[in-house]
Amino acid sequence: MPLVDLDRFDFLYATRVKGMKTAATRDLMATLSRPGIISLAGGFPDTRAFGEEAFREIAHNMSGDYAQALQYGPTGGLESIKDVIVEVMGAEGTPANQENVFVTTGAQQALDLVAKVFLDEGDAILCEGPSYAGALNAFAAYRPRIAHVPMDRAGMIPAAARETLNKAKKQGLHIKFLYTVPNFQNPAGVTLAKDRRREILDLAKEFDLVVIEDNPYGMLRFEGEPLPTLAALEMEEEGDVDRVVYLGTFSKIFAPGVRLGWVHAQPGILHKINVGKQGADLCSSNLSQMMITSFFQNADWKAYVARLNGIYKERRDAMLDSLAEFMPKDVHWTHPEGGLFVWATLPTYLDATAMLPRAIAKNVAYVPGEGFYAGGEGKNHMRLNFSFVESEKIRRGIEILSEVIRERIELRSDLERGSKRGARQKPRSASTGTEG
Amino acid sequence: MARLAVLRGGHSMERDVSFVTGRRVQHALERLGHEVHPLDIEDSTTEALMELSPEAVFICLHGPGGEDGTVQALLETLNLPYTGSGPLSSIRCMDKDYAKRALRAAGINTPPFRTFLRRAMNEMGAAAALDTAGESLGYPLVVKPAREGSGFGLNRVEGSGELFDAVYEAFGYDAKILLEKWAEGSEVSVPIIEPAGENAKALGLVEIRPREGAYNFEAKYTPGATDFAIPAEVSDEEARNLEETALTAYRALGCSGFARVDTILEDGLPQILDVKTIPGFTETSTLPLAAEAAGMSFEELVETILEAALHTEAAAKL
Repeated sequence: MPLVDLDRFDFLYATRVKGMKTAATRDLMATLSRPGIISLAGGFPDTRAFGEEAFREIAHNMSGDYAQALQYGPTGGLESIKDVIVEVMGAEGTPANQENVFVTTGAQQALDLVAKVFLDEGDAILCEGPSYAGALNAFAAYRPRIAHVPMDRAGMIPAAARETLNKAKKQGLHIKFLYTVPNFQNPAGVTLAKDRRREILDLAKEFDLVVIEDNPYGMLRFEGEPLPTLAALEMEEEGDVDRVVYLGTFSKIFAPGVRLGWVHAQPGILHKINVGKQGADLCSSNLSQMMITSFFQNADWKAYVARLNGIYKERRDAMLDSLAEFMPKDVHWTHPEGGLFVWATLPTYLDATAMLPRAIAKNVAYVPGEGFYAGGEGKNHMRLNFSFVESEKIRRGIEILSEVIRERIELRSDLERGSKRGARQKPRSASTGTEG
Repeated sequence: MARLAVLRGGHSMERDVSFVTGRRVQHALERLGHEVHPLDIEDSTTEALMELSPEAVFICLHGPGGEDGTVQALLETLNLPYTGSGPLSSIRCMDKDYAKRALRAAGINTPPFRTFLRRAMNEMGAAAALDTAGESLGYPLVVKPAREGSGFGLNRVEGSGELFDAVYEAFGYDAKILLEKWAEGSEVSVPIIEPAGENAKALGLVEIRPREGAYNFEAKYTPGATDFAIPAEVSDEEARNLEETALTAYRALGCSGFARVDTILEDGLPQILDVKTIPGFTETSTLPLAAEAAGMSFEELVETILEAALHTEAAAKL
C-alpha cells in the first residue's frame, strides 16, 4: 500500500538519535519570539551592556593580526588566550596552570567532550537534582544512567550522594563522574557550601571518580563571600590538579556569541579530550580567541563584570521582591547570591509544563522544571531567569505568572470541593441511572 | 498577478507551525507571480493591512486568535477578501463543543460528549458532576480542551481514577473542556477544497498511523513520527461514506474555501472528531499531501484557495 514516507532515512539513524527527543517545551519555546512576551525562560546574559564602542575598539585593536584571526589554530587553543584564562581563574582564587588549560567551543563542547571521553553506554554518573539541561542532553547522547542527588539551600547533599553511590555500586554500575555546578547552580540558583565542597572531593576520592566542576557563574556574585572552587581546594590539598575537571566559559563574563570556554584538568585527561576535539571541530575559532584576548588584555574586564553584576543584582532584587509580593503562599523559591536564575517550587499537584501554554497565552514564559531531570521528575518546578529582562518587565512578568498560578491553585480547590460533593451524591445518581 | 498579504505567526501554541505554513504558501504565491507581503500578528497589523490594501489576505494562522474568527471578522471590517471560512464558521469549528453540537443537530455522527466550563466549576461546584459524566459516557474516554488544536492537554482516560487529573490538565489549556467517548477505529482525515464557483469536494482520504502512541503535537510535526496512507485503506463503500459525511459536516458547519475533517472510522461508520478550517500546509501536513496524491501541485492548491477568496461575487461567508 502506498505509505507516504516523510523521513525516508528513518531506518538508518543511530539508536542514540532515536532517544534524543526534542521536548514538547522546546517546541513551545518557538512562541517566545512572538511580540510582547516577557521571557523569563532563556539563560541569556545581557549582551546589550557591552556597548558598540567597546566592540569597535576590539575590532580595531585586532585588525593588525587579521591573517592569524582568519586562520586555523592549535586544537587546544592559542597561547595568548590561555594566559587570559589563567588570569581569570586566578581572579576567582584558583591557581591555574597554563599547561592544564584547553580551549573549547563554549563550555557546552567541553560537556560533550567529557562525556565522549569517559562514558560507555550503561555507565553511571551523578548529577545534582535538578541539573543543567544542556549537560543532561550532552551526556544523554552517550546513553549513561543518570542519578540525581537531591539538593538543599547549601547545594548537593553529600550524605545523599554517598547513598546514591553505594546503591549504584551495589547494582554493579560503573560510576564514572560526578557533575556539579557549584556556584549559583543552573537551574536551582543555590551555591554548594564550602565544607560540602571538601566532602564531595573526599567522596570522589573514596569512590575513585572524576569530578566535573562546571563553573560558568562563579564571577557573577552580587553578595556574600566567594567560595574556593573544587579545583582550587584539590590543588590546595593534593598540591596539583588530579580528579577535578574544571569547566569555564567566557559566555557570562564576556559574551556567549564568541562560543569560547575551556577545560582545566590534568594532562592525561586533556590528551583524551584533545583527540575528541580534533574529531569534533579541529580547533575553536581563532577570531573569537583573539577578540577575547584583546579585550581582556587592553580593557578593564573586571570593571565590565562588575557592571554586569550591578545590572543583574538589581534585576534579581526586582524578581525576589515581586515574587514575595505577588506569589500565592504555597509557592517557594530560592534566593541566589549571584548567577542568572531563581528556582521556584509549586504545590506538588501543579504541573509547570502543562501550565506553560496558559502563561504564554498571558505573555509570560519560564522553563518548566522537568527538563532539568533525566527521568521527568520535577514537574512542579520552574526556572526563572532574571538577567535578560529589565526590572520593570520582570515585575510585570512575575505578577502575571502569579496570577496564572493562583488560577491553577483555585481551580484545583474548586475541583476538589466539587468532586467531594459529587462523591457524596454518587450512591443516589447510580440508583437513578444516567443518560446514555 | 495580485498584491497579497500572508498572515502567519500569531499568538497561539502553533506559532512555529504557522511560520512554516506561511513560508511555504508565500513561496508558492511568489512562484505564481504574485506580489506577497508576509505579516505577523502584532500591534501594527491592522494599520499595515490598511496601508497595504491587498487584493486578498491569505491566512496561514493556526489555533486561537487566527483560526477562530478573530482575524476573519477584522478582515471583513476592513473589507479585505480572505482565504477560508468566515468568522462564525471559524469559531464553530475551533470550539469543539460548538462544532459537535452543530454536527449532532445536523444528524452527523460525532462521539457523545459532555462539556464543562471553568466558570461552572468555580461558581456552581460543577466538578460534582464529573464522575457522573464519565460514567454516562463510559470508559475509556478522552478529555480535551475545547479550543486547542494540536493535542496539547489531551488525555485518554481509562477509568474514573484518572479523570480528575486529566480534567485538571485540560483546564490548563482552555476554560472550556470536553469529555468525549473514545471512538475506536482507524483515523482518517478528509481534506476538502471548494474551488471558486464549484461545489466542495474531497481531495481524497488520508489514513494517519502514528508509529508510537497518540498523534500528538510532536508526532504531527516531526517527519518520520507518523505514517500516512494515501489513499486510506478502506472499502469503496466506506470511502464513499467518509467523503459524504465529511462534506455534510463541512456544509453543516458553514465552512468556505477549504478545510480538513478528522474522523475515526468506527465499525464502518465515520465519527467526526474535529474540523480544522485552517489545517497546516507544512511538509508533513495531510492537506497538501492529499492534494499532491490527487494530482494537484502545491502551487495549484494555493492558487485554487486564493481564487475562491478573490471570487467576491459569491454569497457571503458564514
